[in-house]
Amino acid sequence: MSAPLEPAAALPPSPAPAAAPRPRFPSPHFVELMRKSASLVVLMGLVVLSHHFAAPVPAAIEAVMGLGLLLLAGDIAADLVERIGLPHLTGYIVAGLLVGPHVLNAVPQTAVHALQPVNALALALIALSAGAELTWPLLTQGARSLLCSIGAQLLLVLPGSIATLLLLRKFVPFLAGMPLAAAAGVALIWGVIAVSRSPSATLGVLAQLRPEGPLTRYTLAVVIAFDLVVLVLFAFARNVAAVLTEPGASFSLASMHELGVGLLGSVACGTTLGLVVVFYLRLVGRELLLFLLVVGYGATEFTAYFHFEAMLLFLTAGFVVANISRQGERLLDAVAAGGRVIYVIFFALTGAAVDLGLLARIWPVALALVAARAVLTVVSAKLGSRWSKDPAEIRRYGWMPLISQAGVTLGMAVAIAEEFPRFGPGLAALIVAVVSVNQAVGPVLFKWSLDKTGETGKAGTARTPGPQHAVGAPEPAAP
Amino acid sequence: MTTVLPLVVLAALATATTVLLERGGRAGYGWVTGSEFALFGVALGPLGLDLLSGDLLGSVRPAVLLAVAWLGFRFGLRLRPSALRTVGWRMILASLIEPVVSLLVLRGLIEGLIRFGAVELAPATAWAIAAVGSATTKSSTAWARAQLGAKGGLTDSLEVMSTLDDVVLIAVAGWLAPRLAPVASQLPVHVWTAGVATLALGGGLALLVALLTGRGAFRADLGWIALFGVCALGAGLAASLALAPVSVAAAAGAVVGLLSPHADQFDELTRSTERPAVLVLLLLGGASLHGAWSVLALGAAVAVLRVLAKLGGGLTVARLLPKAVRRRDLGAGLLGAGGVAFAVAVALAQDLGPSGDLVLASAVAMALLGDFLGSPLLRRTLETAGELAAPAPEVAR
Repeated sequence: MSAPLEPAAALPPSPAPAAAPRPRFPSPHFVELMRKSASLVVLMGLVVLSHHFAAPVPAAIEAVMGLGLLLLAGDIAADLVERIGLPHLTGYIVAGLLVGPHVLNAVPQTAVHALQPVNALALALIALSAGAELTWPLLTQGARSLLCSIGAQLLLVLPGSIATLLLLRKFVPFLAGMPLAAAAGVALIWGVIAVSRSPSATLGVLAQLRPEGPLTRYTLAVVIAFDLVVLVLFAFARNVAAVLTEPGASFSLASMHELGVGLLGSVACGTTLGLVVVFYLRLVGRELLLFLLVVGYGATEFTAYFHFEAMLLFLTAGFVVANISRQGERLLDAVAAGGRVIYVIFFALTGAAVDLGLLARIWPVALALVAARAVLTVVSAKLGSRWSKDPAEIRRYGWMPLISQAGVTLGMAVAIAEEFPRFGPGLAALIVAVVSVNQAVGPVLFKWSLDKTGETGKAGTARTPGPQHAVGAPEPAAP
Repeated sequence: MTTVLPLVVLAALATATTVLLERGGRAGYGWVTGSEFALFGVALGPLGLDLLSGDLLGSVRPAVLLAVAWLGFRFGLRLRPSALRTVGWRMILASLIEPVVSLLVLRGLIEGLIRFGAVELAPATAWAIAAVGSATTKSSTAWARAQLGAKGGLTDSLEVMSTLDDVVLIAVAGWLAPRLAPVASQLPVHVWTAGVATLALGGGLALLVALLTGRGAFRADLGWIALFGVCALGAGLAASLALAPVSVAAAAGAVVGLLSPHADQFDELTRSTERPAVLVLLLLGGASLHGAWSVLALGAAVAVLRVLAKLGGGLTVARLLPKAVRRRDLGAGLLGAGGVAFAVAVALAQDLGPSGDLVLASAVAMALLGDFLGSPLLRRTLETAGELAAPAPEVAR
């Protein structure tokens, strides 16, 4: 607490110049580092002891233990990487990678698989808050910038990525013996994957740094709006690829009908869900995070059953809450209350799912695709900014937030692996390899760009915790 | 679709029902512990409309583990020095003796039923039922304070007793765990070994919380990660070591109360999560009942016997209370059931297999009887002690 200020005149005469205060030892930073290191030692000690004494347990119990381990390891790693200027997301991913099945195997593959519903729930909440960030003023004020950016990326990144994969097809095992038309179908899917961005990584970095400024607004609008475009494009590309790659398949309007039903159904259900959330917030307004968890889980299962697009549904719901009611801020507060937990779970699990062995096998092709995508993204972002006459900081750094790829892209990879048994698993593996690199590099670049433009921390402290988490709130009657 | 989705829908419906009931002005009677959730579960489970089938408890085992550990941790936090500072040693003693007496009396009565040939029960099941019956939910006194405006020495005493008496339940759960665990224990099944392992693991987890959250300014986001992560890790480790997750988590919560300067903030931060966790477990417990109606009848009989046990427990410790609040019918104010005890009942039912149904049936019956008999009796006890606020004059319309 600072001492009250007194008028200068009341100060006693200055004594002889005092010696400079000696630096405190150990410094607070050193103490913090030691504390985090000690917690890492305790955590690892508990894990080693449990491995020594514990009996083999069902996957369900492994999943509970794995969830705890990912959360704690993710938090410790986030703090450690922050000290070298990296974003928390990098720490979560690194922690997941280390404790995951491919390095220490403290969280085995069965546990990672069993935790997928938790991952889907985390993604649902992230999508809901992404939709709520997409307010009408944000869209209209930056409409020109948004349209130019999307247009440039569709004109350059999409065809450029298709061409890159076709050029590299000799080096890609599952494309090597494929006819050109079929390879073009696969490349079309890759093209759509390449233009996908990561709202979750964007929101994760924003939640940590609380930036405010032109680059932040531009990133929010472009990344989230572009996600909607990608979802539609992906559904379309899957249909076209099916025609080009499956022998005997022909293009039919029925498939477009199904596509339309899926997309419109997702939007319609998302709108309904948004209205339900608005009514709940207005009429009940208690236990918001619990309500969102229940609704998120229920809607995720619902979309899986009806083959709707979960991401589109939740984005629409968040968009409806933010734009037809005054409850958008309350929704964002409620999600923010569990925010860090959600991000740690999501990104640590993403890290745990990275197959290092696979990455080692196909790294040359994956790296070439990463490089091509990055170059195309830089060029298209700069071109889009020039067309729309964006401010200098967006023209200079606007490409950096667009590098990240994460949950949505991985979800698409899973869908491809299931839908196209001939080439799907191979393409999915390649996508996972590319995403692994992009999710490691993207958040770092985004943080760097926000630091460079001076937008970091301008939005003040973290979003206020929801009423159910306010410290000092009156005690409810618990059973 | 998984079996979890119907459960989610049920939870939403039950929550809506509770909100409607509260808005309908029924807060004065019944539904104090949320037993309508258990009833709702029974109505829609195999014993009612049979809308839920399959191994419901088995399919949500991770969620149950986590919820039970969370409630155990919350209980442990209540034992922190700052919370117990104003409670005298006689009160603490009374809070520990009353559930022990209730446990032994109820165990004796159940033994009588067994000897009489009314029921065949393994000793572990009988102890489990008696342990669940020994605890009083703290929501009864919270309800009396909030809805009836109760205040005074007796209200305070009942509140302390119903808050602390879960110690006995958690200790018995810890003792039973190695005998019931579905995994083969690597540790010797001995009461001292299990006890030391439980305390050591709880201590290690608490140390982790203290290190992660430090001694500086409190940050809610870090607090959530540390507490939730430690509870999940603790629940998993305990289950894999054949220890009771609720006991390990309670030990961790108690040691966090000793080690961390943020214990009060942890308590405030997580307070609002307790009721939702219990309500979901009540619903799950009700929906998991699939035995014969005779099991329900037996559960109801056990719930009635519990009333006798609690009256006996109250009578035994009445002398330890301050003279001003010393009453022979103290036990009548301690009939509320649910909360941590119900959570432990659900966890034990998972481990007990077919005989777990009786534990669940007893817990549901105890919760219902606690609401519909316990709440009016608590009201009467406080009324005769002169600790209820005078009813507000009705405003003329």
